Amino acid sequence: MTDISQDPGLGPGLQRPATNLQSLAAPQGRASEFVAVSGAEAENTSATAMLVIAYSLFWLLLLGFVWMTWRRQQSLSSRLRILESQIEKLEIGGSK
Amino acid sequence: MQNKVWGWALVLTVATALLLTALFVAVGYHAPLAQAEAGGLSQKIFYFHVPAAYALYLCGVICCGFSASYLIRPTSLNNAWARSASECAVLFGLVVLTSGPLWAKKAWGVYWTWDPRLTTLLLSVLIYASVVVLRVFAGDGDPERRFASALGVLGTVNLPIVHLSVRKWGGNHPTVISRGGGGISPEMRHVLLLGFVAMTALALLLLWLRARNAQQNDRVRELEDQLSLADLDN
Repeated sequence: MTDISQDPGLGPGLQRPATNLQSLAAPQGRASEFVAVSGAEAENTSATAMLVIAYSLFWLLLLGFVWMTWRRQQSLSSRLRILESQIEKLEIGGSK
Repeated sequence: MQNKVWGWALVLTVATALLLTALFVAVGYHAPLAQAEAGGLSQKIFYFHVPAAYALYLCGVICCGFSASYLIRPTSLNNAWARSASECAVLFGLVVLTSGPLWAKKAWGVYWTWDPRLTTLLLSVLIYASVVVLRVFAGDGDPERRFASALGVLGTVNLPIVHLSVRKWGGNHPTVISRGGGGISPEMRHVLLLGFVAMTALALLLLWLRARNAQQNDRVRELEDQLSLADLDN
């Protein structure tokens, strides 16, 4: 008679699965426990890198915005000049 | 009149350039290092992250005011400033949303967390971005302008929620300089004040430039209509 209390999950007449967990090779270096330590470094990203990236992105966004505004202003100014000269010509033609 | 406006614009441009230079020099040489829990050296992002958030609020309030004005009285001036303010709000929103995560990575260990303030701010920036996209791609007729204005008002209604979200719902976001916070050292306060002044000048300059842009766009459209009518008459 199989003692169920000794083998939870396996009922009477059931065989243990063929895979033997004990025989699987344990990967080297895998942590088997976590131990609390004091003074551990919580975040090791470089603060200088973060600061430089943040300031660079600020300038990039700002200069990109100013450049887009300037380009748009240039195209609007030239279009405005063309339109004003065309209207001027029409007005002169109309007055003749 | 035109010369006077250009004179003021020049003064504002020079002042903004000087203030921004002074801010970055002050951040580099005057602002002290903060404690490691606040991000250490990366805490210096704070000096333009917070002023940029304030500039976003400023642009939001201007967007709301001119958008509401446009809904009541649809003029080219109201539309130009509402449009300009939404564009500048997106710019400052992007500055906040890019600088914040870089600081958070160092201070909190993660770039992003669905903290109430971060989430509500992202929502506001997305609303302003949708206003900009709507104005660019959906045409520039009166119905589109009205819809964009209504959306601009909605984006600003969300700003008090962004501001109060930390107090109401907590989260990771620090509450150092607001009510109930521990405050900052006097040297830090001076640099932060400089940041606020520099960002205000920058916001005003950009707002004016974009509004002028939008007004000239209206003038171009007006002249094109005038020309096409004249062509039809001939």
